[in-house]
Amino acid sequence: MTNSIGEIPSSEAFLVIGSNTTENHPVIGSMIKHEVIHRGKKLVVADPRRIELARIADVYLPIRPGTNVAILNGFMHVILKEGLYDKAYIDERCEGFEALIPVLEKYTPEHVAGICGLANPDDIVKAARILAAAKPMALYYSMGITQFISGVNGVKSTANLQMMLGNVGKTGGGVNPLRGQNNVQGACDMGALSALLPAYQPVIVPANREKFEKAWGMCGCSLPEKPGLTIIEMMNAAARGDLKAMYVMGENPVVSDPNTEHVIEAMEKLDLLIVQDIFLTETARLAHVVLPSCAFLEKEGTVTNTERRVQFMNKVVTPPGDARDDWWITQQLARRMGLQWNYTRAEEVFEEIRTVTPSYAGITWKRARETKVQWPCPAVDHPGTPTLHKEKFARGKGLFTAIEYTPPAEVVDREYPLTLTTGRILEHFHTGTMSRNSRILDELVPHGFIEMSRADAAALDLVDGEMVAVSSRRGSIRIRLRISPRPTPNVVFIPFHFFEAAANRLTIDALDPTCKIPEYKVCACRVEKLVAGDGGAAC
Amino acid sequence: MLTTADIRKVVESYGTAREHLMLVLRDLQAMSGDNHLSTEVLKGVAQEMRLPESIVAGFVGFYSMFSVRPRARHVIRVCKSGPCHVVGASTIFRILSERFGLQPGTATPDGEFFLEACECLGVCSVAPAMMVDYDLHGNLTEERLVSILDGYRGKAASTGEQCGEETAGKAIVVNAPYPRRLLARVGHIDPTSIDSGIAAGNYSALKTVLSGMTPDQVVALVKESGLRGRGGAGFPAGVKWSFVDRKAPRRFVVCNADEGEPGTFKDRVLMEEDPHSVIEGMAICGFAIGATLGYIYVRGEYRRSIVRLEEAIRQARQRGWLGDRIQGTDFSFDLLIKEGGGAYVCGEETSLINSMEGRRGYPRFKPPFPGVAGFKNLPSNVNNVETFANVPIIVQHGAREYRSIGTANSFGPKLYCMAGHLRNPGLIEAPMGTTLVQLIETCGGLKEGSSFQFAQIGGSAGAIVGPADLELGMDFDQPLKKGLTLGSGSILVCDQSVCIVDFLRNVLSFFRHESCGQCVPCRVGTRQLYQLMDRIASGSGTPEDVEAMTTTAQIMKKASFCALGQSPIVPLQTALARFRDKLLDHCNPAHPCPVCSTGRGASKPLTAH
Amino acid sequence: MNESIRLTVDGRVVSGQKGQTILEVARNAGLDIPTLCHHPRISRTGACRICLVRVNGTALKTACTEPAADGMNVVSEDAELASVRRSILEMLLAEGHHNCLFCDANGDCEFQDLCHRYGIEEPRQPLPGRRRTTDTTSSKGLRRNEDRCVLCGRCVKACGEVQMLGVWDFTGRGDRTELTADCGGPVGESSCALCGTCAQLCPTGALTLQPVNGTAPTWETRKQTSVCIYCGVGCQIDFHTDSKGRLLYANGNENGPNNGHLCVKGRFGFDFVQHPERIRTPLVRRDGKLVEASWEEALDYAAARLSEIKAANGPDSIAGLASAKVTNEENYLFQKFMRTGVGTNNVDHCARL
Repeated sequence: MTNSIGEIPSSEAFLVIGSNTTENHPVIGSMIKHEVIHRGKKLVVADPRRIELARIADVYLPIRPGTNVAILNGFMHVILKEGLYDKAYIDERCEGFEALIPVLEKYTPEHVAGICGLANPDDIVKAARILAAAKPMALYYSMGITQFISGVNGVKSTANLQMMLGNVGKTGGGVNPLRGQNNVQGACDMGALSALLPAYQPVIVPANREKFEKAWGMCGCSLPEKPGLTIIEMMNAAARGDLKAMYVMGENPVVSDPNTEHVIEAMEKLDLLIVQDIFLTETARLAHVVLPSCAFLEKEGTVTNTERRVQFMNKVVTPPGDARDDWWITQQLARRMGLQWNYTRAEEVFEEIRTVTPSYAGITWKRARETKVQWPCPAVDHPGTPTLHKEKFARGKGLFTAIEYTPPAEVVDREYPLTLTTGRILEHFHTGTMSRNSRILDELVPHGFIEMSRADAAALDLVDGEMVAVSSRRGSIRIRLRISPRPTPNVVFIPFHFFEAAANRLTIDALDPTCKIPEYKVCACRVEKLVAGDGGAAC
Repeated sequence: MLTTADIRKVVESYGTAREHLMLVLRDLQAMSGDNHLSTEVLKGVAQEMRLPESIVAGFVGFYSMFSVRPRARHVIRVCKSGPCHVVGASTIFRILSERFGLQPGTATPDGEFFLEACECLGVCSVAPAMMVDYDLHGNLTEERLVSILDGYRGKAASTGEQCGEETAGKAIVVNAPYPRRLLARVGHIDPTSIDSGIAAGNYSALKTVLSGMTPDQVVALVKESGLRGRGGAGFPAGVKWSFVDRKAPRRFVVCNADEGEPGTFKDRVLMEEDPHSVIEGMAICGFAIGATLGYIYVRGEYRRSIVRLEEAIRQARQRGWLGDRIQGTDFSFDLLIKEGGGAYVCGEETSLINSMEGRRGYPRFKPPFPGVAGFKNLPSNVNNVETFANVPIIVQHGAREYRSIGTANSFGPKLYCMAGHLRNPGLIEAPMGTTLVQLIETCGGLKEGSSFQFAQIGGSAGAIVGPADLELGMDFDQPLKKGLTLGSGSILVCDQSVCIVDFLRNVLSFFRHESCGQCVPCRVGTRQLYQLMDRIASGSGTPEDVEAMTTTAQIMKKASFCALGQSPIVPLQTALARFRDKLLDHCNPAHPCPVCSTGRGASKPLTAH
Repeated sequence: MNESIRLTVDGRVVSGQKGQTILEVARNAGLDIPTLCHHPRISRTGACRICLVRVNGTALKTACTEPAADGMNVVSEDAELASVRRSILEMLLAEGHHNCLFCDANGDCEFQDLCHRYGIEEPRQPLPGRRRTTDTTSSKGLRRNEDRCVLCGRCVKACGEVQMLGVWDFTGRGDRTELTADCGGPVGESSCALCGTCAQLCPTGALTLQPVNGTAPTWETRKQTSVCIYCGVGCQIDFHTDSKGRLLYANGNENGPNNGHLCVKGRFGFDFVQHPERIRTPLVRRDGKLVEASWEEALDYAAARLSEIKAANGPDSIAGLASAKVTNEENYLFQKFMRTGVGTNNVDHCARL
């Protein structure tokens, strides 16, 4: 997030696009609802499903999955046409606006409504005016923007809109991606990325490598310069036989990655699979070595939340059996591989992080424990940075990027006539390793389901609660049908938490060309009634 | 069965804003056929109005005119408040039980009638009274009761203003020896015709205001007149007007027509018989405080008041006395009506505002006062109906003449609501400060065979006065000196047949029923007080119980959120000062009280006036 | 904008800002005024009347709603105020059915604390019992026992102002007032999202959380703060454990970005940590089966195999997946290990998934 959770009360309006906030980031969802309901703030929601926030929105736009760029360009078209953009801000703080103008030309409300499947083009105009009138307006998004082959374009479009309206660098404004995991921000900050060293320093830049070689005391040895493989590329390399070994710490790619069949096949080909986890997950079952690690309440250390706040996790309980801290296990492996590591406490690791990660330089465990400190925080006497790009953009000028809408990788056809979109539900999390092993959460929602509109269900002669077959070009699953007012017709939704009814057996592993994110949010599928004797009619 | 489409249609007719909840639910209940709101209907309303279901359910649960259980085609509401109680309300209940098998809270097997005991219906001059659907019936006797109810059999529930003929315009005590200003037009004009009102002087004051006065001058004039609020608290109206925050983008004039104080019916008479006087007073206030919109919050039981006001507003708009650019001036002002749902506490101005907004009628803490943050959190000036009706008089006659009426610090005319064992009960307009005995005599004294035992002045929240207090001047300040209050100006005269213990039990059951329940002292205290008095009345009380009541009422006085909980000490303490022995007598099981022991108080023969 | 004011509370001069209530100013100054319906996370109520204080010698005002004003003289407690507070507590005790012995909140009850503080034992004037709703089974997350409800309204506001669902409201009136969940059915069938904020804010045992993993007397539990493991909001949570280290329940911590709020996962989704199926020892695959091994065995085996593969196929034949579920320190070390120990940039995690 460019801005802070605490700034929500300062926003005069919200654009929520590609985020089912009240289910996936419920605490922030409630905060936004509070502003809208009790303080009369404006809300525009664009989402293929009639999510809870849609109920209270001033304008709700039920866009087709994969059409984010079009709707955002549509807003910008109206804002440009009606002269509602912040000219002074653009002149002073941004560049590249001229290049954007001709691209926006064709994104008329009618054209966009056609792409997005909206009945009323006027809604786009109405929404754009609301978004332009309220200052500051905050844009919130999540995986509903990013998990497309056009994910990077979607992200850039959100930035285009917010810069056009002068909302970046303003308290209560900003472009605010909601991160989906408790330390996904920190994992990125720490350089757990194939092309980036800690603090987003590209590995490809020699100076960066030199810096780390020195800091890490590599005496003569050099860091690999070629960017590595991303997660899906790893699976592909393993399937090809190019990748021989994997060391997996606390992840469950068998359930979390798209195209499950392909993932299992790839992992089974590995000569060595080391899995370090708290449960014998679907992935761990395939491993050659399983290393038991501590769960979050059994260790101490820092995590960084979606607003870049570095927070301290205390040890609450003792680990079971012989389970160990992840850092201890990694160090043991490192020492056996010839590294002279001798960290005795996690805090020593953090002290090292401070020296190589400029944005963390001013943060100590003590500060993380006692105060609310957000990076960048370059020095111990620096208060931290609640709002990014405040005086000027991190890169100097905010860069507009002209972006065209491109359709998703797979579109519906006669064979696979429905659009499948996936995501999470309130009661569960990711691959279910944690939530499905929590008694109450498991009891609340014990089974996976496919959410379908009443009209689609009627057309297929399906009733609520029956087991159905769902197939895509990659696989097929059986799953319980839930008829719901949420999805728009011809769109179905499956939460991906349930291995026995795994959405990712269906999803496509097409990737965004830049950031290699898989297109989880849209693929073509088919839903069929199970015939008698086929194990159907479970309810 | 109401369908989703029915619900949607009703919601659409008012709008989805929460403030319309009362009317949406009222209409749907009327459409149900058996006067109830099913869970499905509540859910449907929540869905259509985009409200949490609990808010709709909680709203319905607060107002006594709603029911979530099926009732019957016709709902009979028999008044059990003081003025009806002392003239035999319990006999009505007995008859309904004997002749129709009806107990409060039950229906006849044929689904025709459902009986409810209710609080004051505001027709105390014809007590005992009841309301069937929206029709009021007074002067009930056994024969009348039976024939009235027979007339409803097989018919659809009425929603109109039939109201019972005997209450129409006849609530006024004739031949009162005082000049009539507030009631000048009452009985002489056709309240359904603005022409008739204008011919008799309606809107001449507004005309005066609009032809040359400034808002500040109007506020100054009302201040100078010394007009004090007629709702009960007696706060200077002009001062209140001057407190209204002028910086906010909009302001509202609100008329408190939630006349719920038992024994009070003055506002009803004004609204029904001279509606334009209220409208005119509100418009002048709107001019003075810079408001362009006003609301009249009328208690839901006052169907005829609502109908007459609606018609009067319609005609006033037609004639340019309401709406845009009134009489071609720059001043625009319009009025809307809000309805109550059967909750006495909504007479408290902040409860009233909550109720207007579609909320449970809980009082709000002050500050902020309504003049700063009232309806929709915008500055709102709330005055009583009678207060507004005084405004045109002040404008027309000037502050000086106005101040010549009444007594020191209590200027102007006052409407006194006379009920109980009087020869001619009804409404009297008299100068502020007229003595109790003068008012009683104006009603022709007590009924044949009755002798004065005590009176309660100012409604249920008012003081009990005895024969020694008859010379008391009925203004704001003189009663205060004796620890009494004028209140709304109602005077309930009780003869020797009334037992003070039974009477107090009735008063305390009223408070228990009407406490909103928000604050602890009132919610629990009203229940404790009723329980103690009931124990004393039933002969099992002790002298300690009498003291415990005083203690509880004193805590309530100190700690309650609003005036409702602060009030029970007044009747209790004034009664104890005059009738302590009678309470103690009741604590002696050897002397059972013939009145109290019947449980529901005196069962009296009913005789028509 | 912020206008500074000075007032006297119990003879002490304290300062505050215009717009603050007497209570806020007093509490900031470390002065204690008892409250029951007030909670800093919800709007002002002023209904319980416990916080009545004497202002400028005479008037009794609720400290939680009365704006503090410059020059004000406040007395937080004197004989009369204490007697009013005692009476209110007695009234509440008479109205409900408070039996601490059987109450989930015993030892963690603001009402109980106040009764202790003011020496209340039994109400002087008991009221005949009018039992309200008890429903401890319909909801997987909430237990409801309205006999212990003091009708303070915190739950109503917790749901209506914090969680923003409005499951709870009051219905009825006067002494018939009670809670309704939605249109009145069991709370387990309501629109409740099980955030548990109502129970967290309930000052008595009227609304409590279903036990996740067992219960213990409140005075034997220990509290430690950590950060929620689920989404990226980073809610701070106070985890309560019993003397044996068993995780019992979780409350939102008000210093976190969540301001004390939680969702159903943060509230109830922690017992996986103590799930019997947690892996307790390293496992190594032998003859196709994963069998228990010592740390030495497992680590030696893993490191040896990695080294062999690296030697045979080069460092880029090895890849590592770090985790969005572990700490910064652990992610940092992991990528450092992959880059320096293995010598590859093949490191990623599920940031995009």
